[in-house]
Amino acid sequence: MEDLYLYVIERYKKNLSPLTFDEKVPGFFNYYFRQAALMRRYNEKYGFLKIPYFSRSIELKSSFHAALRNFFSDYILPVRKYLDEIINKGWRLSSLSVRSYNLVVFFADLCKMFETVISERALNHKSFLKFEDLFLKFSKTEDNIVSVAEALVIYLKSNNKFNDDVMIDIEKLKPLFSGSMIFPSMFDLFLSYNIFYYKKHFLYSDLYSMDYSDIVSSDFYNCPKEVFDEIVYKIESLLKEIKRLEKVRENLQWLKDLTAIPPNTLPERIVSFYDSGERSWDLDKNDFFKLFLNIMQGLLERLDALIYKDVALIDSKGGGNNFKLLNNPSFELLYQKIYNDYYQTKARFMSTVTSRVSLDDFIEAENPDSIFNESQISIYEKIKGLLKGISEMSLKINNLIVTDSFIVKNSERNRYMLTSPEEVKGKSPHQAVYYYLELFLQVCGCFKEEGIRKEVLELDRIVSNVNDAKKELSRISDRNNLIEKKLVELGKV
Amino acid sequence: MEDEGFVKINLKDDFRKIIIAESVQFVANSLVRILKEEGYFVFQSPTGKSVKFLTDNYKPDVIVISERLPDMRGINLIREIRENNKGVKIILISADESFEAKQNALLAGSDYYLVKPFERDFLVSIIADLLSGKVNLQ
Repeated sequence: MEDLYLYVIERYKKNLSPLTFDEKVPGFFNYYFRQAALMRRYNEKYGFLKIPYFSRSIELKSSFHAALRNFFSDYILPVRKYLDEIINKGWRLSSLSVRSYNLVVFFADLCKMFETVISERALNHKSFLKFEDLFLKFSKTEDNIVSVAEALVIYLKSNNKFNDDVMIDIEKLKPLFSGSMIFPSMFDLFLSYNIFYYKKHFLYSDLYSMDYSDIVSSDFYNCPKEVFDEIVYKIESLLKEIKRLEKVRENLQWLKDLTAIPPNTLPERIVSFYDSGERSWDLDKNDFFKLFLNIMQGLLERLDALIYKDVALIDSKGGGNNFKLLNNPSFELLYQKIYNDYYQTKARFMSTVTSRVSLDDFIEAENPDSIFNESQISIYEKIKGLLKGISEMSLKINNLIVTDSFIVKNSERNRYMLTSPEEVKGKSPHQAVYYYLELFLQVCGCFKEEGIRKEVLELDRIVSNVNDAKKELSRISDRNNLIEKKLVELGKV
Repeated sequence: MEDEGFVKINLKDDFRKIIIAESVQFVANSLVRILKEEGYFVFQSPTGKSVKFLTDNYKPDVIVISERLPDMRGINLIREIRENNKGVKIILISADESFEAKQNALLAGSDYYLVKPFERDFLVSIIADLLSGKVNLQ
């Protein structure tokens, strides 16, 4: 990961050239007849320099060093302690943009350099120049310090460290970089220093001889290696989570499509199955209980055939063949339970005189219990149990196909064709079983089986979770997804 | 659902049924063998009558019909099949290379007119193209 870190950081880092000045020291006549007078006039205002009349050895007074130290302790020190925290944890905040984070990193570098300058025993030209370079680049636009101030507020608020005193410290930073409101300003110190060093007069405008559109990148966090490792780990986790959620979403979408829950979708499989007998869906749907019990009767007949009876098949080699499609004992146990529940429900229905409730009323009712009277509710409770059984049967069939433990293996799926019953005649065994799975699921969907409905309702939440995870991934990923690509290349996701 | 429960079944939609209507046994056997090797579910039917029975009952995807069947001409069989089956793909096999023969077959409802003798791979590719909708009337 070390290589990746260096590669990514270098790829997105802004390479800013250092500021340059007119560094020529003036000649004798220029110094004595022009620069010396200008420099003295400037120095009258703040007096940071000692400019002798008969020599060119300009010196910095102790007031210069004192002013420098005061700026650091008064303006930088109060906020300095939060910068490392933001660099370590700020990337986690969705409200903190990559650019703001990188400006904080830039500002932290500036502060470190400032500290180096004031902590050295004697003023070091190289260090001071570096500090000046950072400061002037940073103060080129007011937006930089405003963004850093906002980043500080965002971070401190999200960590419950924000208060009025902190706000005052943050607000104080803005004039430090604007050159106004503070007399003398940091810019006066820079001017004094450059006059001292180059022995000639400078103007404020000489300090701004650069043209950068932006000093930091918005493409990726210019973070330390430890933070980079955390980001990579987070990206890896998000990619895994998205993959997992996509799978769940795919399964739920498939389940939703298959169950064809009314009123948005017509459960065509049930309707054609129902009408294929000597019954009419359109006529019977006005009597919810009768319709349901008729459907259940049809389903039980089919289950009986699939579990206990040999199904007639034609082998692709030409011969006939017979076997039980659902030959697993667990199907028998569940079938027996559904069978018993069905007859108990039917008996209760037959012994009760009830007013009719239509399927449409049932579908429209938010709470099905609310449209039934007391005796109907007791029948409906039994129906709920039957639906649960059908749902379990569907799950068993689903597992059978998914795990390839069906009597006809997937590799031989096209070897046989069913010749009966009518609704699956001409289909392969896999197609036939899938047909029944769809039929059972549509019954569950149409008659509001609780478990399946809950699962389908989960779909919206999962879709939302997928979108959130993708949004978060997009927020913390580098612009060209170099980290993602590397993780995929390494087989980590 | 997230850990266990219903899992999407990606049922491969590749169960394709083909009827070979050819009265010459060794030709029929050869065609059946070729198409089975390609993974198709193949019925062998020596007469027009049995073709109609199989078509009505099992809804084949493709019917390969020889022009000469013991109980009827292939072209007449195509006309009868087309009365109730618009979607099934039909290939008529014949030794007659004339334009009129081809035209008549296509007018009767054939999707492809295949002149004997033909290469194995050619038949296989024609069937694949017909099933994927790539072949225009010829």
